[in-house]
Amino acid sequence: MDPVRSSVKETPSEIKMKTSKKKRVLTKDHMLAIGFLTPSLILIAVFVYGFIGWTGYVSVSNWNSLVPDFSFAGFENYVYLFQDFRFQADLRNTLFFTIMFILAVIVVGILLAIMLDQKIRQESLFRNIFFFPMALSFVVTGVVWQWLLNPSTGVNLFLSKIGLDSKWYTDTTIIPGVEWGKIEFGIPVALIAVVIAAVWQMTGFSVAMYLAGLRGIPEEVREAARMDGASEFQVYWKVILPLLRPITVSVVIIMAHISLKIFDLIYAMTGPGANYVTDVPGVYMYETTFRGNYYANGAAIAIIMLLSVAIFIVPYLISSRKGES
Amino acid sequence: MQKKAGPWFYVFLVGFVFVVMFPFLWMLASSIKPMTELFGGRAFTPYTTNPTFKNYVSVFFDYPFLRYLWNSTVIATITTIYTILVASFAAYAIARLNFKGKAIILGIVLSVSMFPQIATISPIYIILKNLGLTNSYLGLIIPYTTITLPLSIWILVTFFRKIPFDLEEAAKIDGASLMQTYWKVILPLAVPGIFTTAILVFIAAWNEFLFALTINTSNAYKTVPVGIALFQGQFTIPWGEISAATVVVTVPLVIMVLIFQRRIVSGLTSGSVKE
Repeated sequence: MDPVRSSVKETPSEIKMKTSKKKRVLTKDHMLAIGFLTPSLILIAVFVYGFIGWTGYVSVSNWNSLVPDFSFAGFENYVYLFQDFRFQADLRNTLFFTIMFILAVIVVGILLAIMLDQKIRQESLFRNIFFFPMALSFVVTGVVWQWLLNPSTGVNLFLSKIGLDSKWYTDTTIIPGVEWGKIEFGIPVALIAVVIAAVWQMTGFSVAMYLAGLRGIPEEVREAARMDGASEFQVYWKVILPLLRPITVSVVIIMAHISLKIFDLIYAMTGPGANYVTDVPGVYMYETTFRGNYYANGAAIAIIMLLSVAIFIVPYLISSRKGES
Repeated sequence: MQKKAGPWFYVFLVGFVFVVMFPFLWMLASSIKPMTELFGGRAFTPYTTNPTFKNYVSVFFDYPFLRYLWNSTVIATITTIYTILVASFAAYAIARLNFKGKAIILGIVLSVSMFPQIATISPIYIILKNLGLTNSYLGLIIPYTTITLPLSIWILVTFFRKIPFDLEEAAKIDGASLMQTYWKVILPLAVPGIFTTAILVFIAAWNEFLFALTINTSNAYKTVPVGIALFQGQFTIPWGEISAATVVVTVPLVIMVLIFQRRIVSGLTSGSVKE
């Protein structure tokens, strides 16, 4: 078993003693591990995996009224959704929300982290301020930004004073608005407001991550690049950024799963919006299930959301497991 | 040697600080404005000449906001205590004991902490309704398990792993049982990590919205986020009161972040940043 130990000459009795002792400890560890893990595993198995299974089962049933109906419907609910105007709009919104949100969080996060890494005074004060929106709930963020961007009271009044559009927050325009399926494909203008609020809340997290990453890069690396004649910009672009790639991967995964399942922020800030310009699958699922009693449709939306998150998480988990072993 | 940051850096940073603080300052300014200055000509004026605490008084006496604060406190506290208790055992087993399949268990836990909670909401709602647990504290404490338990196991494992293994060996040699080793050696050393995890669990439970909105619909059991989101009445939106309410719930969190920032960041980034 253990090559180093077996190569050392030992008397048979000694070997026997050691192995038997090791075995006993192992089984004790095993029993304790089982005892320690069982409560958590049961809770997770029932409350998460069990209930996801239930949702999957309902998503292929005919239960679209107050009365439970578990008869098999095949993929009818899924087919219905993908042909549905509202769900198509949700998919478009989720796609563009996720892209804009992640890009902004990464770019702003890196910039601020690099600035905080310049041996500045009062660094911890700046860090605290950048970080504090993280602790707020998405609901508070949504309410605050709704008030802030309100066309008749908020900062948009400033826009109208200098002659610009102050109503973009409730605009239903979609840029560029190409016909695609039942919807216009493109970036809904009103959705940008939600992206701003989400970026405001989550950037502190990526700043913290990148700052930790920057602190992990030894000064010699930068020195060596400078010695080779690289400009300060090149040092960051060609040397530091590639070294930060693992952190970027983590940030993308974490932000993607937040963005794909977002509900609170939209619910509190804009709601589905006219023509569903700011609607997301989470809000649709909630409304169709608990307001409309379309349990099977709601379950199908939930399963689609679950799968979209899984596309990001599963490869990440597999690769990080490889990294550990 | 690295150059020291010049004045432009500070100008830029302070600019960002302003952007980050602006929504909060705007809320603060709105919360002490009289109703008449919230809309119309003076809406964009950042200050008011007639500051009033009427909105704060109204939040606490005209709305059941104190009730919401109490409900959130009870639910988040109980959730935190029981989650940490259950999770610390599981995390200890994963981090410190020898058995096969650890990586798989950790993978299951991590994937659970990222899945959309909305995929479990219908069955949880129906079961709680059948048990008569909707509109109760237990009705939220139970489903919060799905969020807080995986989160805390994941964070605690990284903290437990940092405790030197020699200590356990020494305790074993001194004849301590595994249970004694856990209670008397490992747990005291893990207190900072457990504390950090508790803060994060508390914030997560305090801020949770989807379950709270669905399960506790009566005013007597609503939590703060639901209360704030549903402040708006049928016809009017009481913005003065809403501003006051958001200030009230934000201030404790700001203080908490100022005190525990380092801990919160280390907890949140642990596992995702390799040290």
